[in-house]
Amino acid sequence: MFEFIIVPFTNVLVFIYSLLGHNFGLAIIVFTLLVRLITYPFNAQQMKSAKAMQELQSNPKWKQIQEKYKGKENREKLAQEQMKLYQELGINPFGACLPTLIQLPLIIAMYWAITRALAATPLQLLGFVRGLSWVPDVSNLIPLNSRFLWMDLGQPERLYLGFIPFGIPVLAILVMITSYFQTKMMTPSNPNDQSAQMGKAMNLYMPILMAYISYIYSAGLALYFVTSNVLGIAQYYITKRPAATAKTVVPTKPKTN
Amino acid sequence: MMIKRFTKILPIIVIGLLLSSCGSDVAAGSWPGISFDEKTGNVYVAFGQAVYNLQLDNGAERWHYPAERQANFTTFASPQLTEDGQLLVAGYDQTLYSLDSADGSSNWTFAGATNRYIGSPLITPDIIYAPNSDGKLYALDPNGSLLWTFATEQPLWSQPVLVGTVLVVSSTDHKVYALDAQNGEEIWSLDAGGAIVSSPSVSEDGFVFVGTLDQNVSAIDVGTGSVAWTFGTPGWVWGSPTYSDAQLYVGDLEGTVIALDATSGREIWSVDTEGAITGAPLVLNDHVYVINENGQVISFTLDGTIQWTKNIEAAIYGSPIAAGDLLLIGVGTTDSVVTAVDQNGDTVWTFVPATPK
Repeated sequence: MFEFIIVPFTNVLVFIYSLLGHNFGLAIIVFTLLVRLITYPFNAQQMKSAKAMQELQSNPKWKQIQEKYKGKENREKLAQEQMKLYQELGINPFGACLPTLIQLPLIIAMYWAITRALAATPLQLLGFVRGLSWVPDVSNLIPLNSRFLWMDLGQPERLYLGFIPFGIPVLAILVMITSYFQTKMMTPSNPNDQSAQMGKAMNLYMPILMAYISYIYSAGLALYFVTSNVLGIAQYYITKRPAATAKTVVPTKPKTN
Repeated sequence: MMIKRFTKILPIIVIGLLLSSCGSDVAAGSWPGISFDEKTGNVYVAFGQAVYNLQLDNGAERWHYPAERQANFTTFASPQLTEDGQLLVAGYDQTLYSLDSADGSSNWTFAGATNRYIGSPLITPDIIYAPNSDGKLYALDPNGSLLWTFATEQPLWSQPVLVGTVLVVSSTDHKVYALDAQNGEEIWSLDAGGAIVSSPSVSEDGFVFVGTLDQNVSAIDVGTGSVAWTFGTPGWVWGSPTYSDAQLYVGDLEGTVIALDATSGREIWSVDTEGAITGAPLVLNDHVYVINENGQVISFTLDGTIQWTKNIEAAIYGSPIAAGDLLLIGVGTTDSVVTAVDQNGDTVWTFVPATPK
């Protein structure tokens, strides 16, 4: 289904691997950095939209509309008035959607690129080597070295300490923590009852889901998530430093005659 | 709000898409592994979630294991028989199973490995040598107790071979290792230039021959660990070279079949076929048989003349197996698991499991 992304991902990942001393963990980290750089404009747009939505919560006009059209019978009218205000203030309420939509095929492609590169069965290996048309001197690279630090990047990650009878899913925990912070940065913080409740739920739901994916799938995918989250958090703090952009600044005092 | 609802559903979509393709990849992990017991006329087939015992004359199933399908049980390595009637089955669930070859009942299991078994174990009277994808060769006694292990740097996918008292192991880490067969001590190792995914073949005068994914075939003197010659092939060599009567027959992923002089490595003949060859050619009754990914079963005379070609209309991998007068071919990509053809290329029977694969 996603072959048009998976094949280039696989080739680039293996090419980076060949340049980085056959270290697959480093190759995933560097590749993630490249992906973040390429998707930077979309992520920047998402952060801009998220910030604008946060600041909108304290806009008097916004509060007025919420108060005036509360109740189930006014939902449609509320939606209309909200859209009018978005247009007036130049806010794109779907600005957070596009990066999320883009992330989906990237995650799928990254998962399959890692799975194919660390081919665990004969048919997987056969398919993998045939798909490597961009990488020179492939036969010297095969099979790829799947070990990185304490993990096998093709298997779910667990850290085994002698005195603990079970493996600790370190990466899954890191994914949960970094996802939590990243999600929290993107959601409104204003204590409006309904949206604060929904925001809190999202702050927990997404990190838990991403941690679960990291727990059951390969360590390579979890490493991608952690790296991507950390880069996302860094990007947020870098872009947060300048003053808010002119378009999204909202007046705090009502106009008077 | 719609955006929040969508973002809630997104991870479920991600998991769904990942899972939807995940299962099919493991089920199609490899092709059927077939073995034949000349003494009893039994055929054993490992494919997917069961191992089957078939009758040679008509392919009828005698038994399968496990009797009820088990989610974690998957096997493709050709089952191996011991002298005392055990059938060794190597699983993707990191477990080696000993079954009673007569009725498929369980004797013992060995669960000490940490990755899939891709290649078959080698059976000798005193020791079972089991190569594993965790890079280790596990040496067990006939009751499944661990004697020793030998570690290589990458997965072991091929069955080792015994040359006198020396065990020769080929690894995907590009190396060939010679070990003391009793205690596993390394005698020598050499870098063959590329990953080796199938077993070496052996000559009567103490040489082993390996094909690598680096497009070559090498002859190695087991006594000294030195390379006698290397021959460059057009494509990657996946299957074992076949040694017969001082000649070597090799197939590669370009579909080329090559006959070499085993002493000098000089090419005698080569023929291009239409599909990738992943198995060892079979030499039987002065003929050479190969199967390729285009579904072709091809019979050559020993001088490289094609005698007949049959198309099975399915991608086929691995090697044809000689069983009495028949050639057994693993067809794992359709609903047929094994097809038996005679030495004229005519189909004699096809095995389709009654139970889910």
